[in-house]
Amino acid sequence: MTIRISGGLYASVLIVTEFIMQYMMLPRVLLENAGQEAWMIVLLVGLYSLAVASAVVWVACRFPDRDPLRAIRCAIGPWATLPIVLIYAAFNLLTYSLSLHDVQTFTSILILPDTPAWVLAAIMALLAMYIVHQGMEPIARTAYGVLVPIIAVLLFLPLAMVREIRILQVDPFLWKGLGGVVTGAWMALPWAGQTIIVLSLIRHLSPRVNPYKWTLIGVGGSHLALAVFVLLISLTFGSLLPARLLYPEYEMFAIIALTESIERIQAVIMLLWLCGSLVSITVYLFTVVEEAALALGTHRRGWINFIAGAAGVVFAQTLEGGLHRRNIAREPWWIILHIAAAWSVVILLALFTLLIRWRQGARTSV
Amino acid sequence: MQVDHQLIVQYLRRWQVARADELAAEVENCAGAGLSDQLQLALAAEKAYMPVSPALAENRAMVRTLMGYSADLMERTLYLGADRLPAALFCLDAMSERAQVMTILESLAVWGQDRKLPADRPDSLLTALEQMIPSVMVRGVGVLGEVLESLLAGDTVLFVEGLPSALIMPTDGPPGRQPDEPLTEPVVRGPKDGFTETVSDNVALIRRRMRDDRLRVERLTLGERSRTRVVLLYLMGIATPELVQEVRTRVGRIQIDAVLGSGYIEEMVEDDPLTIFPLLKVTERPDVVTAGLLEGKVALLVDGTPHAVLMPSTLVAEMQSAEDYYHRWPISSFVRSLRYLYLLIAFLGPSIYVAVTTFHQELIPTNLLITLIAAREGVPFPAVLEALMMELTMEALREAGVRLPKVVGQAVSIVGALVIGESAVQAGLVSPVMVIVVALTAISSFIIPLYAMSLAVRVLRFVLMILAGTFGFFGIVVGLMALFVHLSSLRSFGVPYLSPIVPPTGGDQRDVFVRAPWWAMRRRPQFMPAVDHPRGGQGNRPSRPSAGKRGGTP
Repeated sequence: MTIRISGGLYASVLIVTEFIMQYMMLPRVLLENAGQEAWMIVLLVGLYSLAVASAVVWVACRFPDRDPLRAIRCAIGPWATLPIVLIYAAFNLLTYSLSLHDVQTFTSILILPDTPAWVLAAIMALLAMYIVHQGMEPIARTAYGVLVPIIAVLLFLPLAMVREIRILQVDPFLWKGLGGVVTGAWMALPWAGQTIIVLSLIRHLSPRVNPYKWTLIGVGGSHLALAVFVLLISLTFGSLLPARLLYPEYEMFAIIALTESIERIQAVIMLLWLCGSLVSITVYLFTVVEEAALALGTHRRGWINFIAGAAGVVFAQTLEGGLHRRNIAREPWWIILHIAAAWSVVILLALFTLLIRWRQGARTSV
Repeated sequence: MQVDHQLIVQYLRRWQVARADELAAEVENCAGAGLSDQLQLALAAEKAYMPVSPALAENRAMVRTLMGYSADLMERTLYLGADRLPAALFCLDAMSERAQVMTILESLAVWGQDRKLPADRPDSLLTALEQMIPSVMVRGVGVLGEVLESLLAGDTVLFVEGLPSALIMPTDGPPGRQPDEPLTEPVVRGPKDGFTETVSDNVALIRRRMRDDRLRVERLTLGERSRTRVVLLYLMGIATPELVQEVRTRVGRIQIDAVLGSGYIEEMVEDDPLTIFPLLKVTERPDVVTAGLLEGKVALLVDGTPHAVLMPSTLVAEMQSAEDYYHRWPISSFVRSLRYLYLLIAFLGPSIYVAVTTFHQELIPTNLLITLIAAREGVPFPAVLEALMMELTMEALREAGVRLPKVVGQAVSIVGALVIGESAVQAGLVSPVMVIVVALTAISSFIIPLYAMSLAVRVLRFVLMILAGTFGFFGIVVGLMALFVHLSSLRSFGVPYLSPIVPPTGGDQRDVFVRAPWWAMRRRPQFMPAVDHPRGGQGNRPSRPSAGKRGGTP
């Protein structure tokens, strides 16, 4: 029996995956480039994310079970899905490795400084493999379980920050000009393109659910939440200081003190972030395993899961974090690589869809 | 053992089947000696096909032989009616209720003495005997296998000369006890009766609470050797036919030599055999089973055990106590939310202490940190080892308290806890704070209403302690994530185990962390696959008398 997830669970996966990882890593880059207008970048790239996700959803909705890859494989042949799956799986494996590296770095700096980073990565990968083995439904439920407290934090945060917020921090408006916003948006594009994972999620969505609506809620919700956080950072610290901090969000929570005794609230938030990150890592691994299994035409995913999970750990340690450094540096070729990967998957899907349509049309006319 | 070979051979030859002839030949070969074990087993293997003989002597010989001349097999020779028709009554000592057997005997031997019985017409004879016997039910069976099955269940069997069938009279009354307060689920307010080991009594306890003709009771027999009676109960029109059929299928699949308790069945019908969590609700309380049936669940009662099994079950159901529904709803809601809080403490208490003191001292306010450091000064073990030692000792004490006789058990638990705790602190092996943490954890685990759930929490606590001692909060998060995913993937007869929390169903939240008043719970749980959801009217909410009636005429 195939278990389908509801629209709410689908949106939860998207929000947690898109928001959580970038919550810790992205704001510094954006604030550095666009100053206090960094929150605008998040909303801007939200449109790009939505374009990528909607394109995939549009193509997927043309096929039974919203599964274009399976349909292309059946209609044209296994070879047709190969380039799509190769690009898609490689892209997600890279994202999985980078996410793994981000979390291991954060954990080893702030939580467990004496534990070797690769050990942390291995533990996270093992957990991700276990969750992937359980299937999409537990992943979605866990994402939902993480999202509920995140929403509570989002609602509570502005109240807790009231005393720290300085409205004048937004002045001067567009300090770095529109150029700063555009540069920041360019830097954020690799992250924004990660919404392509809807390709693997949408086939698990209940057929009774409107996929456009819930994709909009998921992608829009994650960007809105991140924009709120970035704005709060700007209003609290301005843009110069957080651009020099390693994790500005961590520092933001560090200054919240409810009473004299409850002052280290950032620890609780970090645990929540850790949970979300683990879900995020799992989703990327899941997409790799799911599509690789489809490309190879096998139902035995155990070994694919193990190989992909272990490969991620190895890549995360490769060249002493060389991949990670490139990700932080956001060099043009790195950004173009991400954009090209995301759009080539979309374009190939669209092309094969047209080909199938053309063949069906030809057959009908005959 | 004196065996009448001639009668057995005669019986087998009369059967006129090739296999019977083979057996007869083997019996003849044993002339003079007792039947070998192998031959007895071969005869037993055919009992399901052996017809009841019209010759009384052959039936007697066969029953005696198949029962292995058992010491508790009671046999009484009778002469029925005015023509003194020979008959034999069989029952098992203590399994049959002696008073009932005596009444039957009295009726047959004394009151029917002058009655003319149609010995030459078996059908009429059977009808006449049925009229003579003062039993709530009399049925005739024509196969020796069925005769033995009834006999072993405590029924009384009557063979009559010339009648090719035996009469079965239900007289089963195996040793049992009166319904008593359940030991594991006591309540302050609410019914005090619990299930017993007798399945028929347990069905009656439910019937007493549910006088509904739509309550369906199906009897099954499980266990090739134990032939345990199992009763399946459900409310037609509330439980879905698919669920009932699924239960029937899973129970019907069981192939085992004996079922000695509901635990045997539980392990063979649950959805996931590799989980530590109870996927079926086990209870000793008839009111809990009745409430479950009203929610569309299916119950299984097993003879010989006071524990009923309710299916499907959820984590939330495991955290509900029968008493929640007998007290006023604000009190019940408060107690229930406390129960969830203490579930977390029972589960996470020691691990958080270990993680904080070992890895994350910066999280502790300075004054508390100084106190903790002072308390731990001189303790030679790391916190995780200290916690493991204390928890294991606590588990040993708890287990000793359960296993020892009741009068000694309590004393051992209390003295053990006090003496060991005090001595360990004085010897500097553990810190006083750790004793407090372990004690609080132990008390918290007792708050979990169902024992099976409490066991799961106890075991998982050790895993989390080790993770906390190795990786601090990171380890706890990883452990909790794995646990959450495991719980999310569990299902009980297709119902997600975390329902109705994840996925959330709005109306069902009225009976999760709090218990809404009865007048507000107008529907059965939505997550349950029930046919009929409404359970109460809209006008149940009480209100003050209207102004016109207030202070009105008496």
